[in-house]
Amino acid sequence: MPVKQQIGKTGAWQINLIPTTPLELTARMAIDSVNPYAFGHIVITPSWIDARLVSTATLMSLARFVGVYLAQPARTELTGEGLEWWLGSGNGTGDLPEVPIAFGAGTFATWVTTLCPAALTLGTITAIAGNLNWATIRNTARNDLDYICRYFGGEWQVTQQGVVNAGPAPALYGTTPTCMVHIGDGGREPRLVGLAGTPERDTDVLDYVSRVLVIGAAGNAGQTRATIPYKNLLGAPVSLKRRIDDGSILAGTEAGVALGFIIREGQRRESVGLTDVRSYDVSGDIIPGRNMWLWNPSEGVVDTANEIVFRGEITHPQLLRCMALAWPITRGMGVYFRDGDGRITDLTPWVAWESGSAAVEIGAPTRRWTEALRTQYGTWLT
Amino acid sequence: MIKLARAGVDIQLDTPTRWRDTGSKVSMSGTITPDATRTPVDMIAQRAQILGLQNNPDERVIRVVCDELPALDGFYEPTSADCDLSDNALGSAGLPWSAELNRIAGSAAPQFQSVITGALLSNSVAFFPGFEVSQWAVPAAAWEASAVAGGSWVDRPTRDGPLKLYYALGANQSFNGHWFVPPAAAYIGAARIEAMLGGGPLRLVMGREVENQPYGWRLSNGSVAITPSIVNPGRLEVSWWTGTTWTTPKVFDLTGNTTAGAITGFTGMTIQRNSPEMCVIRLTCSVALGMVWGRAHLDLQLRRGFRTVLGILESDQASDWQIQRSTAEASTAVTGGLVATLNDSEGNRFLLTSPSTLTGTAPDLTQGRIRQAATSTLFVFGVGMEIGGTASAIPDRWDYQRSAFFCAQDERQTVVGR
Repeated sequence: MPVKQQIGKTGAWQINLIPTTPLELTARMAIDSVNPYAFGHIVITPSWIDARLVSTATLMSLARFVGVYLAQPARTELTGEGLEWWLGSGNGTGDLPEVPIAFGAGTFATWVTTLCPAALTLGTITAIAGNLNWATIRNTARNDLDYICRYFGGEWQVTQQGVVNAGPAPALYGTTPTCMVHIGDGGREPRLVGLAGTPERDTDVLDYVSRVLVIGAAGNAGQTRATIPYKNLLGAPVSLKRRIDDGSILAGTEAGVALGFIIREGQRRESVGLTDVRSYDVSGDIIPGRNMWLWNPSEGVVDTANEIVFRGEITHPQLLRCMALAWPITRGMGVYFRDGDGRITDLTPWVAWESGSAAVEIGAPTRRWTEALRTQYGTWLT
Repeated sequence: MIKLARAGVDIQLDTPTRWRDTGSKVSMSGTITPDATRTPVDMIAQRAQILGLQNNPDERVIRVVCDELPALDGFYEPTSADCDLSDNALGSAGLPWSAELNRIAGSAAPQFQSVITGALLSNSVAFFPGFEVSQWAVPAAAWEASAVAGGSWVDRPTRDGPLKLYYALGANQSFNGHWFVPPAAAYIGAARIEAMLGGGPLRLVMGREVENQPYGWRLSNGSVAITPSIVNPGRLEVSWWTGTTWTTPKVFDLTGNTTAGAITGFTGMTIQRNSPEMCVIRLTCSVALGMVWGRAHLDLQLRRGFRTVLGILESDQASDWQIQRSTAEASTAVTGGLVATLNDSEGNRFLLTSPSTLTGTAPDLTQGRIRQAATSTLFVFGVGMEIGGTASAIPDRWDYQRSAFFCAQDERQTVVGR
């Protein structure tokens, strides 16, 4: 099963070991009533490193992916999720604060700093103007950070070293793309990496709203989109209103929440799924959150406002963002298990390597993984 | 004889000994045999051309023209192609080949679509919007060729035959053109790459696989032809079709003025794109300061119907790159470059252009050179020719050539339903 990384989500991973893996090896990561190996970490490096020759800290610093070890479906199967899991699991489990966290005029940095759980290291917080009068209790850090970021217009990020950074997306991921999705051929150019693959465009208006009505703890407000280009059956502008009823929305903030929803979530959704990515080591060249160039004039994926020299042509690609990435664990990588005491077990010689190509999701998250991706990765994708 | 895309154009390809239709699927096979018209080197080259039919990202639909059976003429989509190379194949046995094609809908006369995507080339030479010239060309034998309103059509001669050239000043940088063309005329004026396949004479290349022949290639479209200089490695020789003959080649050299030094040679040649509407080759270069300085590569792009070659030089290290006439030719500064002051002995005027800020207030007008004012790892330039010189008319005039260069366009040719 491939490693899946997705912006704002925990992602997932699975390591399969060969059937002849010694019992002594798998005993070092057994999840049972005796051993405390659950919640250890899997470490994947782009190439094998002799863990005996470097410190654990060095090995972790070279990791392409670090994941939390959560399940052992079989002796030789290890699965888990990404480090984002420490912000809170999908079922609401995490280091929940049991006393209220409240700020009358909390800045973005104040909120993020306070909400960062002890299991992760607080990194760089890039300031975003504004203050939030809000209180929270018994929510996962991920839920709270999602709310904070939606309010301020920022994002959070957990690096493969377990560091939490937050701020505007450009501060976390940069703005200049390093990859070009160029249909038909990949290649490494002086300034860009080309990824070849099969693009599948996916766009819809299923979440589109013309007006948002917010009902908060002590008030309500609405915001209407400035321009509505779509028309209904009778030729009038569509009227699609969305109600948000949330008691945690403090008085006076309803209008801001409504406007934020229109801007960030009530839009026409557009994404491009890139399957069968054959070129180079994709997970090293692109990470979720970073911008990418996408150039496919035959499918109308162009933007003449952009001009990029690529492979001897002056192209006009569209700027989109990598939202998710799924890549196989292939021969040549290094795979290690780090237990709770920091001991490293090199699993590389016993890994059942995967083959196949990677999948990159660009633009908005796809509403559902395409049939091609399901065929490739099965129901593991949700 | 038969022509499968470009295979069979420069080396005769005998009609297949078997042609089988199964609904829309066609399978054919034949043998490349040695004879008076086909040397062993030609056989190797033709084998490469046939193999280039398969998995060719640049030409998913090809033309088929069969002299003996014109009823088979049309456009097809190759699904497989092979050509065995076995013991004594180049002797008497010959090279058996086969190909499988899908007949596309309306194969005799499908509709082509040219997706043109363009915008003003970003520049530092005060070339403003509204003055770029959009261009697009199709074979003159094409019918129902339609672009968008607001442009003009002229005939443009090429070595293969005439083209129809569409051009528009300050408008229509992006549009979709539609056209039909007889299979026999599909490659008139097409961009093409030739290489010394097997060490023999220049032969058409199909697809992107090609031997590494850094001094054995030619990039052409029937209007302009570029070859590497054998006498002076690292220089380019460029000729233009006047309507009746090729001009004497003009030689140009590239130099990184204050750092890299001259491009002293080409070490490798690869194909980035090889489609009838556009070809791009990449040359890895050696510079005077050697590998210690860093790498540099030169991409040369040519579109169907264009008289200006687009060059893109990229390097690891920055330099103030320049391109000049190897033999001095007095020039006059113009926005974005220079043009020869007087007609040459053949009645034409060369043009050099670039979107980069150039040195001083004018380039070197004695030598005929343009040089970047600041060091950069990227140098975009154009080499063109005003056929007919000072007597030429729009769009052959130098200013239209220059302005077409400043309209950065990509062209993708596909077959669409009518």
